[in-house]
Amino acid sequence: MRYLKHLVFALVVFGAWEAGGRFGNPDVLPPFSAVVAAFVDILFGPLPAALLESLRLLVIGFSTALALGVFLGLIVGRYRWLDRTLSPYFSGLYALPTVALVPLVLIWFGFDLSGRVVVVFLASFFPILINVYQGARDTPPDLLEVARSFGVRHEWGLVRRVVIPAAVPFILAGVRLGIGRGVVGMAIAEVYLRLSGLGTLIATYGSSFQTAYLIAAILPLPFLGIVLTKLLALLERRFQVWST
Amino acid sequence: MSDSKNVKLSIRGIRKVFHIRRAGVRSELLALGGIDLDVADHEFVSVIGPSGSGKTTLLKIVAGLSTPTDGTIAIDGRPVTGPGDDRAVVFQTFGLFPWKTVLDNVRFPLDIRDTAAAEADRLARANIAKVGLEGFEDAHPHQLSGGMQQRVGLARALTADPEILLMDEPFGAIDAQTRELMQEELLKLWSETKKSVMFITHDLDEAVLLADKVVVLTGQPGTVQAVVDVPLPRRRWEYDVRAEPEFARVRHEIWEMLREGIVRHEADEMQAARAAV
Repeated sequence: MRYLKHLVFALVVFGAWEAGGRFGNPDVLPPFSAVVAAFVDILFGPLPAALLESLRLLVIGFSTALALGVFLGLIVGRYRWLDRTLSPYFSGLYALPTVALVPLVLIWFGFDLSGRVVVVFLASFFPILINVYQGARDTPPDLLEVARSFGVRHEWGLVRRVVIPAAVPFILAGVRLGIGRGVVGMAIAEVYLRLSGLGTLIATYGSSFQTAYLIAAILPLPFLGIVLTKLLALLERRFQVWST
Repeated sequence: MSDSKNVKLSIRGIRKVFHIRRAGVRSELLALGGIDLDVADHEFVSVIGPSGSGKTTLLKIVAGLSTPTDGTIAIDGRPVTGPGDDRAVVFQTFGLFPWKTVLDNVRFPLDIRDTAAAEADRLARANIAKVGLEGFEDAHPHQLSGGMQQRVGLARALTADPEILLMDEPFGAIDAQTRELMQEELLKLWSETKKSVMFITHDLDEAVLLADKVVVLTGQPGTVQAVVDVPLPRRRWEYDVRAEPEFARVRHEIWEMLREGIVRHEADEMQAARAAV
């Protein structure tokens, strides 16, 4: 039944799309079949190389954001005065749309790989940082006491044995938000900063009104989002043993 | 009984002042007003008192988790200031790590001390069996009932193999029937291991049932009102302690002392509530 519903829905949507494309202006809305054909065409053409270039950007930007976000989040979460001093800025920067920072990043970092990495980093960093520091701040105080009573002495010991494991659900939530925003940051960086990867395809087909190819070049983005989210869901299930 | 006269834990002149800031107003609260108390080798001491008598604060100071404002804690005559392998705590809210299995929770004290993995495993499994949880080694705490979780807490403290067991209202969060069973098992375990025990409780029957002597604290600030000996024979799981006339006598004696404190505490609470209305 579940699959039947999906099938009927897809048939209706893509059928309407196909019909609209055939009877309307194909430069505005190409028929669905033309998009599929265009996708197959670029799949055996420029798409793999472009996707790989985009992924490289995403991986570099996101992993930097993850490392720095977890590290700083733990520090800020462990010290109340740091938390009080910095959290308003974090909230402000978290709310700031990454795209608004593009011109500034361009001036400061140029449009080389470093500039594009910075855009992805900025997009992913704040949701990770905020979740990690909230997790670290809300470590159950009684568990810290238990660890101390059984001989855990140094701050790093408490962080390693209690704070980090207790914050795992928060860290994963931050990663999920961060990776989603990282994909957005990647698309922004590759279209607005300097054409590269999928951005090159999207901008080229867009400016030459090859609408079917334009849509085909956009398609990998939601797919990427779905694949990454599914991978994370698998990871989260491993920890759900105790977090629920 | 000669060895029971050796003082294992000595608490001298412990005062604790909390600095409170409420609505920008600083004030001081004297939680403990000079506690003197000895726990002998292999002795089971219950500490009872009305809420606000600082029982838990006292236990945390002995555990080294809280610093006293004045006074000293000594074990075998050596002053101690922080947590140590000679003491282990059983916590009221169990304090189990939810991400660890029963086995890993019980192994925790040995993992901290870098005990060889195989040895830690063996000792932890033995203690899990001792508290009757064989077969639950790979379960996570949330899969267990409150009583079972506290058995894990007890097994963990035993695995630390301390000289003094510090128990902070360990059965307070457990339902009444399970509690009686746990009290019985604690008595058996204690008779096997013969550790010194400092047992905090607000349950009068429990205090008398378990202990060699009951320390009665008064309310705010906590001070020692009396130390009452419990001259009931040991192996108390083998007879109905509550049916003994001696049990009733000791219980009554302590109740008369507590009553005063509880009545006064209630009156204070009511007055405070009235002022707030």
